[in-house]
Amino acid sequence: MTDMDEKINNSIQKLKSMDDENSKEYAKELEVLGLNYYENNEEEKAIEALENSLEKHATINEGYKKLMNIYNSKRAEAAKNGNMNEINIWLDKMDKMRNIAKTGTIFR
Amino acid sequence: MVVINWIIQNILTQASIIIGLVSMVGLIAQRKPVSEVITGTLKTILGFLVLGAGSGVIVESLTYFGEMFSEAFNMRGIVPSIEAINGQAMNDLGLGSAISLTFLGVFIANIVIARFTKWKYIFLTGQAILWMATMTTIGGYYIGLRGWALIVVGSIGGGIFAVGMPAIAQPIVRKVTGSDDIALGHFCTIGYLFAAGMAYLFGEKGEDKSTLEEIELSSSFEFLQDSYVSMMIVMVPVYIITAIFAGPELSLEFSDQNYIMFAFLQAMQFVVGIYILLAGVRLMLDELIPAFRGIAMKIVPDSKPALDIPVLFPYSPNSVIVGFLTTTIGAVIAMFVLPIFGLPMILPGMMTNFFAGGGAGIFANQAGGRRGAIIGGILHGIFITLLSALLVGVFDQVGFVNATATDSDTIVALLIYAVIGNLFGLG
Repeated sequence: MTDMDEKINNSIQKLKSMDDENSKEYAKELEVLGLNYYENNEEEKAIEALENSLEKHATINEGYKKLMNIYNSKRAEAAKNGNMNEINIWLDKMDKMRNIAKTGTIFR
Repeated sequence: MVVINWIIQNILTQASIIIGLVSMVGLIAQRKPVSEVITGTLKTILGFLVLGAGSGVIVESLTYFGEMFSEAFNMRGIVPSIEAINGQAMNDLGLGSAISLTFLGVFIANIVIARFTKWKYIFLTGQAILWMATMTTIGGYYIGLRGWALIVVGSIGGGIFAVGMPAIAQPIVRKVTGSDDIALGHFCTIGYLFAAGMAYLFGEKGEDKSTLEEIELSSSFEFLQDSYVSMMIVMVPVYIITAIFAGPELSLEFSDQNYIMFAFLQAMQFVVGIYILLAGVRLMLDELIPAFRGIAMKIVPDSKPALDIPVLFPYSPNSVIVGFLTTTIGAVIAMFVLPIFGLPMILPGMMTNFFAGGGAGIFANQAGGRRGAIIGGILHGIFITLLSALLVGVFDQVGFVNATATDSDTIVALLIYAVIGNLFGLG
């Protein structure tokens, strides 16, 4: 097991031990998990964890920025493949991040 | 011949139908099912008509406000609202078809420039493109352009701005975000660069300059979360104070109601008008934008998306708040100072001060540290208010009621037309 696999496992165990799945701490740990998944090249799991984190508690920290970068990379990939539906899926997700950016800046 | 005349009179002169057809073309190009093409087209037409309804409400409120302000203070009080300008242009001034086609034309010009030059920016902020299309159309109309010339020139001009503004902002955006992957698509870039320039001149220098992001800044600006609440916070006191100074007599020409109460309701009416107009804009753009941005990115696969200003907020959130506050201070200073020089009094626009001020704060902080951010922000507020004031004369000649535009790049686009018009005796 690599260091990163261990970090991911630790995050998953920590999340399982938390009672309140709607708390800021739970959202923060989801963010950590998402960032670790990304570092471990598990992009789809990273997206899921980071989206869940923002849904529970919208912030504009590292998780937000990483997710925005991932969306943009996916958009660029879809553009290279000429897939208009995929392009719009990722651009729609980037659009939703706009409101999170505004809210996260005002409420800190 | 009869059929052609019928098509011209009943379809091609109807702005709502034109924009519906534009949406339909986009939906067909995406190979959407027939049901989605029909519903999308109808929603776009509906959005345009809702926009028109909102414009009517706004104009009624602004007409009342303009007369009361003149009576109260013996000068002109102008509300900065690109929404009001767009609504009046599309409906009362009959420029709806031209603006709709120019909106499409700006997209096309953007795609062509990005495809064939090294500047691969695709401007994705739909609302901003609509405002730019509005201003280039008004500008062209002001200097006497009509028909296809009006649309083509406006489209090329708008397209140049759609690529040029992200390009000139990118050196600073790159420093703010730490990457070159995304660009800025917000037509307040000239204001941002002005703020950065002032911050550079009067702020801190060197690699070790301070940054606003190092300080602990508590945020209690919940009222900004809702755009309409923010608008009411400004408009209600402004309308009521104006009514108090104007007195009850003039108000009786509009209504028998108590003049203070009527002022309050007229202020709310303005906000209601904006609400309806923007609902129409969203309905329209929700169908139009996905159609054309997908096509744009397919044609320019190595494009860089130019996104709305909130994309930079997470990288510099304190700068956004300081930028908002300092821009508001500058705007209030300009509000009282500009009339001394014979310019109208431009009332502060809270949402402009938040988004444009926020962006200016980010740019100024990057260029000149904390001191630069504060000085740059205040000067930015004065600058954007001055730009809005300079446009009022042009708007009066075209026939607008007591409003002016807000976004600096769109104002500069129109001023370029005005300068060309004056140089060559046009308009």
